[in-house]
Amino acid sequence: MSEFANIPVMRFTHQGIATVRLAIEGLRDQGSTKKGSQGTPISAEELSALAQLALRQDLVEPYDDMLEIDTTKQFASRYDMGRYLAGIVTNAQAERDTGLWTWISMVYLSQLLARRKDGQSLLGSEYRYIPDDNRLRYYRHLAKMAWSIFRQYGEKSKLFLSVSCSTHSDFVEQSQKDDVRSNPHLIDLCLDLFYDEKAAKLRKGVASSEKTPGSFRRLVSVISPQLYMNFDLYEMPAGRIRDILPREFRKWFDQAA
Amino acid sequence: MTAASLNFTKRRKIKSAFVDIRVLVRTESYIRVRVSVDAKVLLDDEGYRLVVDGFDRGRHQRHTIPSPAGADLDFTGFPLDASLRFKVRQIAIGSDEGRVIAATADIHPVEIEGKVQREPFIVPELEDLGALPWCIQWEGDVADPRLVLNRRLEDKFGSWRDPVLQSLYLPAMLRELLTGLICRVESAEELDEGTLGGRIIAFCKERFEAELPTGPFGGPDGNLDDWLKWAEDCVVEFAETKWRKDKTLFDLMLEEGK
Repeated sequence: MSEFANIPVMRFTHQGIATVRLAIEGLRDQGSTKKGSQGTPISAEELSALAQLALRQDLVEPYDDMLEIDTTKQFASRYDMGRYLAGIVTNAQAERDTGLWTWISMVYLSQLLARRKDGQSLLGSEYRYIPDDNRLRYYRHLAKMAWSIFRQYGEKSKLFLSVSCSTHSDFVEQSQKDDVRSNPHLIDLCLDLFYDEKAAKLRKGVASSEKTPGSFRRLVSVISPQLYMNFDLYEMPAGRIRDILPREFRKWFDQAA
Repeated sequence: MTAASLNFTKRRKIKSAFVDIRVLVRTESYIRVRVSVDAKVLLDDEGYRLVVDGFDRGRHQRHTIPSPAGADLDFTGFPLDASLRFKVRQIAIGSDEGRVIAATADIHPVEIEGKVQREPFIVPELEDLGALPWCIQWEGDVADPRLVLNRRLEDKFGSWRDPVLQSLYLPAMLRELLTGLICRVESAEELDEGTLGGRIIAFCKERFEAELPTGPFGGPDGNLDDWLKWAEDCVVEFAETKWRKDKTLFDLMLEEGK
C-alpha cells in the first residue's frame, strides 16, 4: 500500500468482502499448513496482491468522505493501532461494519501478518481480517478488536494490546473473557500488578502458563472465576480485590509499589 | 484444581429452572428484559440484594432486581442484536457485604418475538453395520467424521428421529463425538466453522452450562482431563435438556414406549 498515504476511509462492498474471503481461502487452501492458529506461509507477492484488493474501485465504496486514514503508518503495537484507529473511526456503529474492518485489515495487512525468517508471512484464519460475528470468534479480529478495546479502556487497554499487531496469542485471547474485560476494577488491579509503566510493557513472567503461580493467565483463567464465585467483584474496588488475592500474587506487589 | 473446589464461602447454586428471563423488546436504545426468580430458592436468613448481570462480548451491565416475583429491566449498554447471557446473583449486604450467597450459571434468555430456527446437525447416515447399532467413522477429515446408524434400526423404529431410538444412541454418540474431537485435535480453532466438529463444539459451549475449561485440548498447555470432564458434563446436560414437546429424550422415550 505504498502508493498513497492519506486517503478517505473506505469499506468493502458485499462483493468486495466475498472477494477478500475467496482470496484468503484460496491462499490457505494452497498452503501446506491449512488449518490451525499457526497460519499459512505466503510470499511477499501474494501478500501484496491480497492487500491491493483495498484499492480496487469495483470492490470498495466510501465509508465517510470526511475521514482520512494514513495507509503508510507503522504501528509499534496493537495498542498504537487501536489508539490511531479510535482517533479516526469514532462512530460506535462502526463496530458492526464488516466492510470497513475488512478494508482496514487489507490496508494494514503487512503489519497484521507475522513475518518469518525466510521472508514469507503467515496468513491466519479469515476471522483475523474479516469480522466474524460468532460469539466465540468475534474478538479474534486483529484490527477491530484493537480499536474496540481501546475505545472501551483507553490508556488502560495497553494491558491487553502491548503486543505486535499480528499477535493474537492465547494470552490475549484469555484476557477477552467477559468477566475480565467487563470489570474495570479487575482491569485496574491487573494494570497495577502486571504492567510496567516505565518499560511500557507487561512485566516479565506475567504471560506464563496458567499453571505458573502468580501469572496473569492464571488470574484470568483460574483465580478470578473462583473469586467471582465467592465475591461480588463488580462492586469491589481494585484495592479490595487485591486484598483477597492468593499469596502467589504477592510477588508482584513490591514491583507495583 | 477447578473453580468449583474453592467454593470457600459456601455459595449455593441457583438452578436455572427457578429463574425466568425473557427478552420483551429490542430497540436501538434499549433491550427490555423481564426477570423473575422463584423466591423459595433465595436464602432470606440474612440481608441481601438480588442482581442480574447481563453480558455480551466484553460488555456488562447490572441491574438490581427490585422484586423476585418479576421485574422489567432495560439494558441500555448493548447493541440491538446482542447475544445476551445473564447471571443472577444473591449478594450479602451489611457486615458481610459483597459475599455471594447464591448464583446461577449463565442463562440464555427466551426471546418473546422471533423463534430461532434450529436444524438438527447430528444427522446420522444409514448403513448396514451388521450387529453394530451405530458408529463414528474418523477416517477422513477429523473435523467432519461420519455418524452412521444401522439401517435396520430405522427400519425397526420408522425414523432415525424416533425418540425411543434417539434416547438410546444420541447421548452415547455425542459423548464419542466430543471426546473423539478433543483427543484428535489440539484446539477448537482447528475445527472450521462449517464442519460437524466445529459446530458441535461451538453448540455445546453455547448451549450447556458445563464449566468451560481454559486453554487448548492438547499440546504443552492442554487441559485434556478438564476438557474430557467438560464433554462428560455436556452429555449429562444434553440428556437433561427438554427438547421436543418440552420433555427430555428419556421422558419422551418412556412416554412413547407405553
